[in-house]
Amino acid sequence: MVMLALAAIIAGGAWLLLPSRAAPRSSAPSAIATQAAEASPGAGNRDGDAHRAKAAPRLKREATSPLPPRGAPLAQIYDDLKARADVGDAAAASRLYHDIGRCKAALNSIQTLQGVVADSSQGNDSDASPDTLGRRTATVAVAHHHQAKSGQLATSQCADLAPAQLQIMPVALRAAQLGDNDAADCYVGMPVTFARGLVDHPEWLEQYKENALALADAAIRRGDWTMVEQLQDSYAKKGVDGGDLLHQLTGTDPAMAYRYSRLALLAMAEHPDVPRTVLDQQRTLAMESLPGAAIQAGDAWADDAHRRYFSANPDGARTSEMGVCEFGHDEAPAQ
Amino acid sequence: MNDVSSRSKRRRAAWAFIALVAAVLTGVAVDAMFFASAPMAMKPSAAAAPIGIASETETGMANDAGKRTMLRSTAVPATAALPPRGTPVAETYAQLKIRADAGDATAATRLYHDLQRCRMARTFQQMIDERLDRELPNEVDPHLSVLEIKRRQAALASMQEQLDFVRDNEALCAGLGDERINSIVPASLRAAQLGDLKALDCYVGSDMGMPGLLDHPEWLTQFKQNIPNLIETATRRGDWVAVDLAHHAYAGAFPDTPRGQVLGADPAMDYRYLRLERLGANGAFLTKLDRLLEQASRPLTPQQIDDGDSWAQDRYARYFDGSSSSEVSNGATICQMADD
Repeated sequence: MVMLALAAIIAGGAWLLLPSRAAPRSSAPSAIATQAAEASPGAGNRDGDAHRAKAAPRLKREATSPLPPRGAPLAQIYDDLKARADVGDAAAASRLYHDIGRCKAALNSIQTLQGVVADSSQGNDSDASPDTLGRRTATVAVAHHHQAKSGQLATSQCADLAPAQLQIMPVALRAAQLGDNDAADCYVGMPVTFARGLVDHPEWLEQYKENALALADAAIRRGDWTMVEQLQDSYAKKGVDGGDLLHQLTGTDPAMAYRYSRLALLAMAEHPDVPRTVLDQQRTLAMESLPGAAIQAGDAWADDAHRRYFSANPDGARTSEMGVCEFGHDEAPAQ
Repeated sequence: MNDVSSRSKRRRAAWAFIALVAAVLTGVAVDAMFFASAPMAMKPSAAAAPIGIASETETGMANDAGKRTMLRSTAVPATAALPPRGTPVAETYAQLKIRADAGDATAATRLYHDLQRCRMARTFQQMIDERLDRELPNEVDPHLSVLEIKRRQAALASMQEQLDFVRDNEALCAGLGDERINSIVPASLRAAQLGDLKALDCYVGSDMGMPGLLDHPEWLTQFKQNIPNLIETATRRGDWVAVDLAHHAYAGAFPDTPRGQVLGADPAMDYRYLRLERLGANGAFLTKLDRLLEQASRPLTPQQIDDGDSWAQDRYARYFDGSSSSEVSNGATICQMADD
């Protein structure tokens, strides 16, 4: 157990050396049609291509017209973007996903910050030290600042949205199917507590079961390091985490976790400052807890995936520096 | 952030990390032996509290017998003694579930609490595995600061508590598969329906951190159907935790969570629950609630405010009996083992 844990530690170290996985790239997925997914070594699926058919992005179409101006009120452009996304316009799907995410974040932020301000006022000022009072004042000031920014965004772009228009899960699915890595990362890694509308749409769970691993596979083929990290974490995770849909789907699988940690380490080992021995070290540690065949299969898979999908894309393939399913005030939506 | 700078920092951090791992490789065996033989005097705080199963003979509601009205309609008297405490859940599960399904509140609450223990033990085991990675390697670093050493000691003590909990419940949870563990969701609902307030708070407040949900979408429908009644029932039994959970949901604080989705933002309802909470508050908690009440009342009509005040005063007088709401002033603890 300890040795397996240390193998994971080494893999964890690899992430520190990986090039920024949030490095900017051309933000929106290409609107050029990519009808079928190319063959891959089976990321996200030990047994091959059971999910591959679903991994293929649905038919993309060339964007037929420019997107609405950035900053346009979402309530006014929602229907148009949704209609375009539904017929395969990747740029529209991506824009819709990012705009909804930003509005969700802004509206949630306003509410949360009200609580922060209230909490900061809870203390008994007569007993508080100058330091405590100073920190409390600073907290309230920061909260007010962010409230103002969120409020500005909510007023300018997020006003008059119907509750259903803030449901991000189906929108993330569509954008992910059409090639948006941010949306794929969010959809695949979506916590239950982020899936607004899920209570009224239990069928989304079935959609998730059908699509998540396929989308993960497709994102891996696009060189998405964030997805590698998500899958590694999910397969390695033990215990019971009811809010983690991805882990419910993957279960715990040390052999699969090894594949993804191996892939991560390959990226690190490419750096001239990193000795090749780090790979041997990882393999030696893994041999303490995994059968040789599983390690060989993992090595082969990782070598192939790295060569085909990541060696030419060491900087990752996400658009945002925010975390998965996180949206900032100033994030530029895809155009 | 400057990307080049970021990468440089990552590389430096990674090199330090790798050096650390290499150093630790030789020390792992020693450290593992130390950890395995460490004193086990401390009990996890989660496990230290008396087990709520003491309430098995009273359905866990010793202090509010007069208030348990709503959910008891489907409860039936226990027909037989429960299995001895500590009997493996794998052996008692089927019997307890049949009895719970038939309305035996004691069986329902026993099943819920046993499953909760096993779920917690698994979670602790996972945490131990993960923390071992972090905490043990640096034990061999001779340059640790005093503060860092103290932090490590505290971390190890905490891990020891968790490990004790895992070991204490090893027999109880032996042979329990994922499917049974995941059934904590319907088990908590059943126990809540039969009057277990701890189960109720957990079911309502955990926002369906539902293991197994992916294979049981029907749990969403059940959640939606039951939440409003469960909150109402808990309020009528003087449960401040449920009042606080309702306030947060109606305030729109968690619009994405299932609880937030089911109840929805509703300023008038938020005002009612806040007003009720304030009637039981004291000290600094009053200041916070006054501010929240001021915010919540802004969109309300005078009539809505009057109705909310009347509703809260009536509820407080009838069901809360002068009790203090300060227990939830810094957030409620739910789904922990404090009751066991």
